[in-house]
Amino acid sequence: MKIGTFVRATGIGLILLFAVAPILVLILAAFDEGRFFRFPPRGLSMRWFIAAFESAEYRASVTRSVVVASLATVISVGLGGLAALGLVRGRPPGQAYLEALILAPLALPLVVWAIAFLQVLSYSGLGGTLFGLILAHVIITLPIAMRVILATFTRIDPDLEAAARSLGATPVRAFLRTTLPLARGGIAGAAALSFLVSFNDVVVSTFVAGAGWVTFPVRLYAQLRGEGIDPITLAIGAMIVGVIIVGAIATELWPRRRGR
Amino acid sequence: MTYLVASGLQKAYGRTAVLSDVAFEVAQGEFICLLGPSGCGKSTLLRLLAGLIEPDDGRLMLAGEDLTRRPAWHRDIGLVFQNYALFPHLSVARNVAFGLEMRGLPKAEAKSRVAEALELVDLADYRDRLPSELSGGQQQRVAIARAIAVRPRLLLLDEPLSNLDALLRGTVRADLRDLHRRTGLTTIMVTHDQAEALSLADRVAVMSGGRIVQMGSPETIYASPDTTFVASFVGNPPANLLRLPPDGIPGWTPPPPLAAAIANAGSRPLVLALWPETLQVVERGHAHSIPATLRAVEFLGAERRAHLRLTDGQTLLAHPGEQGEGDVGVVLRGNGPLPTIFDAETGARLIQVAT
Amino acid sequence: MRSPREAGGGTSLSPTLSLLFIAPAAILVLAAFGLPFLLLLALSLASPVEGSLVPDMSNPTLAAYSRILGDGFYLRTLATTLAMSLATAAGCLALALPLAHWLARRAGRARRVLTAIVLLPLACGALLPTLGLVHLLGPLGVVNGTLRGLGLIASPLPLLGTQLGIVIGLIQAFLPFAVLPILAVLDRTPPVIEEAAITLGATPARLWVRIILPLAWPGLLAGGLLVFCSALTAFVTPQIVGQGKVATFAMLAYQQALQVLDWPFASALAVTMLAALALAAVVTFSLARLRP
Repeated sequence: MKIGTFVRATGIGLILLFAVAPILVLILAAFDEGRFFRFPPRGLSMRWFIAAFESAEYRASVTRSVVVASLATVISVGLGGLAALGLVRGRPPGQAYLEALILAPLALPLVVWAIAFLQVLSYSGLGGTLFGLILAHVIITLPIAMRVILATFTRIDPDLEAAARSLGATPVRAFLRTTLPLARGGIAGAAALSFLVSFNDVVVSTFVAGAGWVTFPVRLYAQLRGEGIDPITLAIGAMIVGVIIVGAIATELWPRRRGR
Repeated sequence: MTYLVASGLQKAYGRTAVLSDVAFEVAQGEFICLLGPSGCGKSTLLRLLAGLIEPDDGRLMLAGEDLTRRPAWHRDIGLVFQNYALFPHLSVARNVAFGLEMRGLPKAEAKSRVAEALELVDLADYRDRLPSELSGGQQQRVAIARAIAVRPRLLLLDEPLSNLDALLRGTVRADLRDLHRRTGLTTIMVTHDQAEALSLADRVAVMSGGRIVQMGSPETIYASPDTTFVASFVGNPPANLLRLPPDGIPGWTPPPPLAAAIANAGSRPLVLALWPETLQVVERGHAHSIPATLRAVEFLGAERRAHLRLTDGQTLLAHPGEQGEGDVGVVLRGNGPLPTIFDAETGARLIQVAT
Repeated sequence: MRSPREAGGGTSLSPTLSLLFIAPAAILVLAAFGLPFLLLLALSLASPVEGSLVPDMSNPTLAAYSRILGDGFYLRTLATTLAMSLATAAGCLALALPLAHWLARRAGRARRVLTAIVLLPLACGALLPTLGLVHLLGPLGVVNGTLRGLGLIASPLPLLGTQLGIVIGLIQAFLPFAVLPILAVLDRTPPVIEEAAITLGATPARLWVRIILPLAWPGLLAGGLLVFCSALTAFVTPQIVGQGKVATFAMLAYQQALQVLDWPFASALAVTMLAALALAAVVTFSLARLRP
């Protein structure tokens, strides 16, 4: 029995290692001092990280990604939160259909849509514009944001609001003082997830990003297809992974705060 | 003739000891209840018997065979889980047949054994239903049929009544007793409800803090508790446990045999157990009465119960008399369990006093 | 579909007000997502106009489809893509079932940390893991470097630029898609069910075949379908790991849309992918009845 447990743990460990191996190699490769990574590495250095900060071009593309992702996140959480509220707290006609409609982009293949969307944007004169890019990102982040917020609202006991109302709060105040504070974590999670998906998106962006709005993933994809790997992009990639891991650890260790 | 022998069983999770030196013997065909509050280790002991967890130390013998390290799937021990644990994707009949299939029984024999087991729990008409289509009580009977269909050498029941509503509980209790009588299976049942244990078991093992503190017939467990814990846990209501100050309970002169026993116990702190049904409320000043204040008389249908407070603040339950609320006395009626003196520090019984 | 939620004690909105709340998101998705999807079929029937991006929509033609079906290259690519997607789905499920079962039986922080590790590649998007994968599988990469260091091989194994390399990359990319639905299903089945099977005499092997596999079946189907669809429409990993040496159907669609700029043909390729996905969904639903 003890041996069985050991074998199983080893197997699971190998699967986990397989799952994260690319990420680990990415980080290792970023620290390789050579222009072309080889294993085992000849030496480790921070030079590509320093070069990354000095490269105006990469800085600009990362900045563009942050801008696009921020705008997409704000719009998604705003519209998605509103829609989630309408779905949880109202009984609109066709409720199930409305929910399915907003969640549809999660279920249907984005490449297929991107090919169509590229044409629709182009015919309507919006091809290659920031507006078109943001719109495309909102389509993929809005359903994510709404689903997370919807799940958050659904989990909160509605009797809490009833209790607040019985204590003299108006319905709006009851919502603002009980449900909303309890939903803060879920809304923050929706925002983080939306930002992450938008920031990392290459599938849709590569179809609709014009020459003027080359985000970092689009730039990276073009580079990988054509020019070969610039070690600076490895450093930037490693830093992005680092931010994601630090963010995840911070979320786990953050003391659970009570709503006021 | 001993059938199951457990000796020196130990189990710890990290530094927390869950079972410490558990030893007991069970005769073939006996119905044993493991009784204790949650966290006392009774469920761990049951899972250990079933082989779902391994003891750190100790030995388990069943019908002369050492089971200690035998995997659960080779033990032939039926376990009925608290939440039934029916296979949701299999019909009632397939659930009951599962253990027989695992044993490679011929189809025809398996079929008749399934029918027999379902007959026994009165569910023959439900054989093709899925567990989700049954009520809680029916699901439990399927779980029992599934466990007994394999003709286990030992039947284990984990809190079988705790998920049923109060009305059903009485019926199932009777059903369990009937089932035990008809199958003759050696049965060990875990419960935290002392009434269940007293009414069902041939012998009860009271557990606390990972140990069996007393094992005996329901009558013994109730009327001759070995420790204050057993006295406080068994019975509804359980015995009144009164702290005895060195100079006695203010205003009370115990009857001579009891007074002598208390004096003999020496100067250590004592606890006196007095069972409510042995106490009678009388008028204040009655000979050998404990002065008390009657605070309320609770009406419980078949009986009434007096809630009293002594002058030093301790509370007491007793059989009420005609007195209204206010100053009264309480005397021993001379029926039921004998007044019992415990060592307050160790909780161990010192003496029972016939008055 | 979800049943209408209980209004319960929560503050409820009037139907009109709730529609007003939902409308912006719904209209946005309908216009920017639903409409292009619906137009796709029409766009695939247009004929390209020389020197212009705007095709001629006046004479619907099936030319694009006859090109796909008439040219062995496209059909072969479709077959290769389907086969690689199937292999990806099978590989993901084989790894995801034990992993999800392991996760489902953990609790607390250990479970959250392990789940986070599984989901990490997903959180990093499509490109960053692929970037690492190139260095993992490349001629000078970790796998070949290790094998050579151990003296097991003389010349590097060709992993980049092969179908095997692409399938490995796709399995790594989509493993979380397989783990999550299986985990969701197993989370709903209490561990005591497995203990019950064990006390009834099920050996570990029989426990997996008779209890865990059937219980996980809906999750396996959902995860398998999700991975299959994702692999079928993936173009980033096949492009980078395949180094242009292996063509997949989605890559062809990408090339037609962004490099050749033959949008009617790109649309037809997209519609073909959609049809393949619909077929996969139908097959999956019919498998639901084959639950072991």
